[in-house]
Amino acid sequence: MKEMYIPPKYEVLRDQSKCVSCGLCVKECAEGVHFVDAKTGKYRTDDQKCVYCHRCVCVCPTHALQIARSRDTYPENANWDGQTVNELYRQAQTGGVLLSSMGSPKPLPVFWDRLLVNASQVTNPSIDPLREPMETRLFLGRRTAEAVRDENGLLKDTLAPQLELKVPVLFAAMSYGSVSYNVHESLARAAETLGTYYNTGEGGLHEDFYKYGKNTIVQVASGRFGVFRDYLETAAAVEIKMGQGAKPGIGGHLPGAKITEDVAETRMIPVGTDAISPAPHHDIYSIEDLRQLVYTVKEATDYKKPVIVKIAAVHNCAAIASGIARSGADVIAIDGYRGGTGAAPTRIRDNVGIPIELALASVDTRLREEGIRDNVSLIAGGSIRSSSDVLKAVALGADACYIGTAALMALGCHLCGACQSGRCNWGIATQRPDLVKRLDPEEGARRLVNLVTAWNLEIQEMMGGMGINSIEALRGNRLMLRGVGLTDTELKILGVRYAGQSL
Amino acid sequence: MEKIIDAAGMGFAELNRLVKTAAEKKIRIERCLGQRYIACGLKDKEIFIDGTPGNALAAYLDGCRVEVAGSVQDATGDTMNAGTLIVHGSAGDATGYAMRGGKIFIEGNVGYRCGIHMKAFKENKPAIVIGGRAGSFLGEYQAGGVIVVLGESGDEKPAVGNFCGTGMHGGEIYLRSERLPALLPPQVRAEKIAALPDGAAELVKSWCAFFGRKAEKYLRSAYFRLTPDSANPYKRLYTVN
Amino acid sequence: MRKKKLTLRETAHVIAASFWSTIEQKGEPDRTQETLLRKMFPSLLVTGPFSIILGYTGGLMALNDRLKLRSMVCAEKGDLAYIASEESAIRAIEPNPEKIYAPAGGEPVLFELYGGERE
Repeated sequence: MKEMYIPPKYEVLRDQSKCVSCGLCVKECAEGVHFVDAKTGKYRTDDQKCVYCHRCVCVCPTHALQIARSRDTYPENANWDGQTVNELYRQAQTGGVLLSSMGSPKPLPVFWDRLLVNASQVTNPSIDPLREPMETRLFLGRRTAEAVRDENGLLKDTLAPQLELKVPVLFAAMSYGSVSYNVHESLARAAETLGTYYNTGEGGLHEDFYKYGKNTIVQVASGRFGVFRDYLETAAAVEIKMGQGAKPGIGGHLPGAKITEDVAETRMIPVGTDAISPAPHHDIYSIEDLRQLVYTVKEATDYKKPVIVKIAAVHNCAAIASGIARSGADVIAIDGYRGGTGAAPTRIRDNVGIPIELALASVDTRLREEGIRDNVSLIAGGSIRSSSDVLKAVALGADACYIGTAALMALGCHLCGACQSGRCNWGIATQRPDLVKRLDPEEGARRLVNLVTAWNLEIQEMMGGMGINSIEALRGNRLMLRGVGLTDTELKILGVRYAGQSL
Repeated sequence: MEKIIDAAGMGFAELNRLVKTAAEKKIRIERCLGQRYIACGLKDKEIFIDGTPGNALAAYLDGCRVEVAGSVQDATGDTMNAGTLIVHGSAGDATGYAMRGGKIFIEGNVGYRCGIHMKAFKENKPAIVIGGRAGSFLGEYQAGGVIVVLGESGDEKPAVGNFCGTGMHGGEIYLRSERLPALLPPQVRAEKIAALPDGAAELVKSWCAFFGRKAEKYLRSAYFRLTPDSANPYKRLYTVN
Repeated sequence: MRKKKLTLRETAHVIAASFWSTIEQKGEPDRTQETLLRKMFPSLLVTGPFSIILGYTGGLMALNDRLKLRSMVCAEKGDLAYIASEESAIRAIEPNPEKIYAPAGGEPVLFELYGGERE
């Protein structure tokens, strides 16, 4: 036995009565699943290569294609499920570390789905958001300024720099290199239209996108790719990346093959060399050291830009956040266990970190208890899937939410989880020019604007129902939430009562 | 004209504001003691510092000449882009972290993790020349640029500590030494060279000029040249899941 | 340290033990001694960042973790010793020390009086 045969995960079903042999499926599949049999001239498929990205199904003009879970599986075993068996065979064959993409698909509880939102009845009037003012504008930043007066007795603006958001949603960090140029352009244009921000991730800022600087958050990560003075000065805010929800505690590694000329230019490294991000920042081994990096960034930008510190949601994140809130940072971004990634070791993605709901609630509680909640704003991320997730996050204590996976889905992502291959058929997680051009940035921006605008309307609708007409008044208002199907411990950490419990 | 700033008792914010807003190109900081972030992100100035500046000196430096009569501390030259830093003393840990351009000349020793994640980009080729000894993890994750250790430490200890070049995947390290450091990681290639190549020799000559040493002595010595064995040393065998 | 009557240097080699690969490079008797200490007290190894200064009747010991994730600078002048995380802190007290150096991670620095009496 040289190589173990691993049955394909999916099979492509072609309805011959509908197929018009147009060849579009062959052309569109970068994985090479579809091909024309040289002998018979018939359309055939190599199911083994299918990643279930749905591209062929979507483009087929006659809807002749369907993709189904393969019927060829292993003997039924609740302990050794098919995926676990596949992984074991693969490792026995290659000796390799399993690599995955996107957020964890494991069936851990999603607490958003066990939280329910309140509405007013009789005692507090609900509001009709379509006809009455309903504010979703907010500011991110430190809010601890003293009331200082000028000689006329008027208050002086001594407030730390703030980021203004028209919607409580920002686009999460995704680097150029892991995603395509057209993704960045779509995000940048949408952020500008929406009055929010996109985040460069750790791959630098392409020179074409400097014009979107006022809607750009730039990242300083451990590899410092593309970080220099102009980069920091162009941005609206600077994010120090300490960790990522999908892979807490490990660094990054963009292989040399993906460092094309343009990506290299943006990361400020030579073409074709590996871009390795160390696991930690090697000048940060404590909160005091973090403070030093925060102030290095502030000094370099003349204290004009808020500094965000992004951490992965891990077991002690409440204590860590308490430290960050005292480090001079203006905003803390917390990235939950279910957050996405362009590539992460499977075991890390599926086993390290904690869900964002519990992390967010514990951080907000801790900061309030210590009287330092106003030192920082909080951004929650790590699989925010809908407007109600945003609304519940705000009620748990977030000022705003990062969306990454949801934004990519608006651009066409079908969650196949094969980002690491670089052959994304939707032009998202790829640098191949023929694939990248499948994503039209204008259309992409429009879809992103649609998504966030729709969410914002839904948020307003739900806020109206609660009789709350400013998102700021919802922040940390956990009385607006009730839990179902949760244990006492879960309720205690979330700081919410069980459905049916009154005040 | 030179602007003279007496930094005695001054906080870092005030000192750095004075430096940044100075109309003069030349600035002399006297009685400096522990003020952090000096010359952070600065360009087009010539700064002379008398004393011991604090951490993160010359971070994001973008083209100044900074000279220090004294030692410097940790995180000096973090993500430096261009410029020259001359230190008449020793430097602390993580000197030249992720520097992409410019040159750092240290007369004495450097601490741990010097030149970590140093990288080159186009015409920018960063360089660090260390007169004395370097601590462990020299050139960790090094991706480009040149590090030269002259090993003049006045004691018997080796010129570099342990784990030199861990994760190195680009650039070069020159060690003036008769023997190789222990525990070189497997992906680092070491070769004994008869003479320094021109680029490194120029760096050594500059170092000698800055610190009033005779270049001949350093150019005639034995060196080891350390380079990564391939451009992709840590392509761990991943298996797609 | 008190119970097993280890010396301070030995204690340092327990809590900030060198990596096995480093120990293997050492000469005798250090290699055998440090190997033995790691085998005797494996659970007392502290791997995170720390810098400690220990004061006792007969002296002072300064110790960094083995990866030297913390800063430490020592200085001497006459019969005075200085230990700080930044050189500037020492120079604020003593502008002209005779000797100033950064100890390696895991290597204790000892300044002793009265024959180093521990009680």
